[in-house]
Amino acid sequence: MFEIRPILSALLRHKSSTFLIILQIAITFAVVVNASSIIKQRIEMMNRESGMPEEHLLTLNVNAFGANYDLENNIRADIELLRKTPGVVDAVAINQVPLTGNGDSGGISATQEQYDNRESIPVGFFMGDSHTLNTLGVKLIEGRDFNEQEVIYTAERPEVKSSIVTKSLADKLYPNGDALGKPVYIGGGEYVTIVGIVKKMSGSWVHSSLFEDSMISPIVSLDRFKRILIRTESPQVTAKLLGEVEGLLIARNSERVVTGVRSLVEHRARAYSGDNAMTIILWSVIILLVAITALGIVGIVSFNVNQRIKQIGTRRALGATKLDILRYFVTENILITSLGLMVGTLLTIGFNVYLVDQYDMPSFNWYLIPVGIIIMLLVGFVSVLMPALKASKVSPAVATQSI
Amino acid sequence: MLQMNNIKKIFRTDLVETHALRDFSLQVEEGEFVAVTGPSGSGKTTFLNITGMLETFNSGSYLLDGQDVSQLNDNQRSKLRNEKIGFIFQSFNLIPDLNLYDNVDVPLRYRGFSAKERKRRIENALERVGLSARMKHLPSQLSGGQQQRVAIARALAGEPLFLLADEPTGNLDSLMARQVMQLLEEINQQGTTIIMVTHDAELARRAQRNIHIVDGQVSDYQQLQPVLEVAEA
Ligand SMILES: Nc1ncnc2c1ncn2[C@@H]1O[C@H](COP(=O)(O)OP(=O)(O)OP(=O)(O)O)[C@@H](O)[C@H]1O
Ligand SMILES: [Mg+2]
Repeated sequence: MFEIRPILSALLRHKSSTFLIILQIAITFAVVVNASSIIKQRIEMMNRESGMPEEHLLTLNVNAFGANYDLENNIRADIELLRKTPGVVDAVAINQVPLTGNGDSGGISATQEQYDNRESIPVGFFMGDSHTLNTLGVKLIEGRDFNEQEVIYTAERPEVKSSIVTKSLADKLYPNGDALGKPVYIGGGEYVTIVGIVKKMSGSWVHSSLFEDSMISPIVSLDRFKRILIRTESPQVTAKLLGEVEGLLIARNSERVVTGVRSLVEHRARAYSGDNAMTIILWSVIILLVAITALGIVGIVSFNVNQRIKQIGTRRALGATKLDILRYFVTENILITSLGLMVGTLLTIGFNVYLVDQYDMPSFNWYLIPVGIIIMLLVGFVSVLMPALKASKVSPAVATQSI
Repeated sequence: MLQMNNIKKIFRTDLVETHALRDFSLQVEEGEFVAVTGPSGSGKTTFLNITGMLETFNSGSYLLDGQDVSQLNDNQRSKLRNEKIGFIFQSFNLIPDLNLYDNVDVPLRYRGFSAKERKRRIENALERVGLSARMKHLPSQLSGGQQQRVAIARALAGEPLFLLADEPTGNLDSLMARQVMQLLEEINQQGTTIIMVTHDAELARRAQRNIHIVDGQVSDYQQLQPVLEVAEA
């Protein structure tokens, strides 16, 4: 019924044109699958759980310029003012804010030897008072939060004794899962004790390997440049405060400048804008390539049908039904597409190995290959249908027409 | 076996209406070898197309092997064509990309025979036309006469009720034409009915019966021709 062998031998008589369309399908497939793989990875990255109620968070910077500006009291007063503002759940003066691309990082380790052997683990260092966890909205799963007594206000290098780490970091430091109460070496022979572990919390750099590995210390460093993070009751309050918070702070003390008032939603969008653009570009490439290939198939099959009008009429005269003719061209096309997809699968794997090798891309989602094969077969089928239908309508009477 | 009564076939193009067949009536019995002659444009090919169900007609009746053809749909006509009719064309109409074996195989595949049955029939048919040694050759590797013999093998392989040939020797030189004619005569003697359109009066005369078509109708005068020739001899 499905004249596979004769169709194949007929195809082999037109090696070059068959080869070209096979190559086109193969390349399209390889690019489409790799591009989808990249898109998928980007989307997965963008959809990582942040562990924070981003729509309820906004941040700003306070730059003090007053000559006799009392750093500690002003920070305390600002935070107190913000915490009392209606709609605000909590606020904290903090050295870095997640997703913003700014902050402090360094290396820590579970033992002094590891530290000295440069086997330290890169982490993001967060510093804030005992309201830090509550303001970030992250969830404590082991141990305790900081208390007010252990918070140090200082402009010097502080001597802290306790810290809270993310679960991801705790597991890297102590793979047995017993990090709570254990020491963490932070250099200079000093160590701090892990008093609490939070489930999940975003770091400042979305593309960094230390994104999920953060350590929080109970320190308020006394700098003229201070970041403040505010958690509100609702996205509406967040929006309202974005417009009002500057005036609020300046009204209390005008010897500073308030800058960078932004929601975390906006910070997230900025952090991932490159990934978003990349996703859109790759989607466009996919759609364009698939459309070109589909049109290529329509073109080559239409050409073949026109070339073979007499042959089609003859087949009809010899007993082929319309369906037989339709099936002939569809089968021929599925064969070509399948060959293209076989070559394409090899190309895809090769291309991916190259990408992983050259650009350090995370390797591949293998299930995209079968998904891509199904999609390309469907595209091939839909493309061949119109010219194949035209072929099936050729009258058997053309068989006896001269020329 | 084949009975046409008052067949009318009109081709309508934008402005012109061509009456290709008008009140065309004909009966052909099993085992006959009928040669159809007539001037160009008289309707010979149209007659052959309708006989072979390649074309429908406007009015009249056509019974093929007792079956009313006008009642059949496209699929049924295809099937009937495949089972009962073998076609031979002026320009051979072999499929250039397929070797001789696969060319003869084409109608057999549509018939749905098993691979084994097809093989038997293909080998037999190519044997009958004397080309079984060249099964793997492409049509382009053969002479015109050989190609037409392959086409005859293709027509015979399905063991049809009759063969329809539209100027089968039209593209051949006279030697090859005579060989092909000889082959057709052999086939006819072995029992297959043949209806052949030809421009070649000499070949036509070799057929058992001559039909002359003029202006879409069977010409009465020419029907007497063979009788006159017998009288002459
Ligand atoms: N598809 C068609 N559309 C319009 N007119 C057609 C068509 N086929 C045939 N005709 C016309 O019908 C008439 C009969 O044509 P037909 O092909 O049967 O003649 P013929 O006897 O086979 O001629 P020839 O000896 O040249 O092959 C001619 O006038 C021809 O122009
Ligand atoms: Mg003709």
